[in-house]
Amino acid sequence: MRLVYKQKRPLLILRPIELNVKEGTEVETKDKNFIKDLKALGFEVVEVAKDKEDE
Amino acid sequence: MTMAQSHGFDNTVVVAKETTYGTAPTTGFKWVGIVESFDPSEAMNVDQRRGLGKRAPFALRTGAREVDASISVAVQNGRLFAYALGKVSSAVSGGGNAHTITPVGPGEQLPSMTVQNDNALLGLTRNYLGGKVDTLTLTAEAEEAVTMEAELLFTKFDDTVVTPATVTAELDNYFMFYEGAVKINTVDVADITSFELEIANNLERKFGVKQGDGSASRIEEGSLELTASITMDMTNTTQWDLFKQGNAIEVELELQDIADADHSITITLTGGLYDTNSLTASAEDNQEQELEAVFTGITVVAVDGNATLL
Repeated sequence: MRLVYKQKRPLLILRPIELNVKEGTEVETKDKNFIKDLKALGFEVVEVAKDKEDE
Repeated sequence: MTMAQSHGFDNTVVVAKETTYGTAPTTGFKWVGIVESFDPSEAMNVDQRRGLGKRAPFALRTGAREVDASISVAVQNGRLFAYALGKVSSAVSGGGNAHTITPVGPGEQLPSMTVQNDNALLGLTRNYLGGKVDTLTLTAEAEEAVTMEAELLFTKFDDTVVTPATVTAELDNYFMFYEGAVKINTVDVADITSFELEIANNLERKFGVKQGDGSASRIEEGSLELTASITMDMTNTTQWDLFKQGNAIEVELELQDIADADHSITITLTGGLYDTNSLTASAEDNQEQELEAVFTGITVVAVDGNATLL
């Protein structure tokens, strides 16, 4: 799943990956817990098709 | 191959509110500030059973398990206040959110937390469960960053976590002493060189006769104590007069980020009285006044970009 950060507040993700986050930052992951946390931080899903193909 | 020694920076510490007491959430772990140190301690309280006919202990059994931790942070947000006091109401304020934090009262309980300490080098992830804040101490001292130290009590630890939690650091400024302002009875007092606030929940760890591993059943909150210690340059007798006359005091500490109008923490202590006063005169030193005060009420308003604190 690919998600994009839609908020203006910069963040620094330390785990499970180290990533400086600003508006427009994209993350691709299949980790369900990470996806849930990313959504809570203000990320929005931009692509789910790739995950379906993988399954 | 020689194993590398783990360093402090190999670790992360994040906190999540438990929805079921003593059960770790898998998501929603949050940042409590820039953690300078995390100092957990686990005690098995081994029972040494003496018996006739043997000089050394006859047998050993693990006893009542006690799990504690202290965490020290540079202050960025009001999250530790939220766990220490318990009640939070949040509303949009300017470009951020204002979280108003007040103490839980009779018939209410403090929120419980899971603290997760992950050591990435060794792959050791420990969840500290059923945690509550026993004491929280905020220190604002001239020439220093503002810090908080929380003493935490837990029912148990668990290292069987499969996947370490997401760790997201907040990048808001940590507060410095020069971003603080203290008002006593609504009057600015600029001569304060040290301000220390302690919130004490007087927690008690409760054990029951139950089958298990000797872990506590729960952590019970006791009476709330609110105290402040203030040190100031002795430039006038205003606080001496308030102390001498036993006058009521209200003390406000405001921390305002100089770079972000939507980032602040304001602590208001109400219903207070000065408890002790000390005015030392020393031949080679400027004179300082040290006061300790107790209070009956506290409200903390933390403004930041977080949607929720707990």
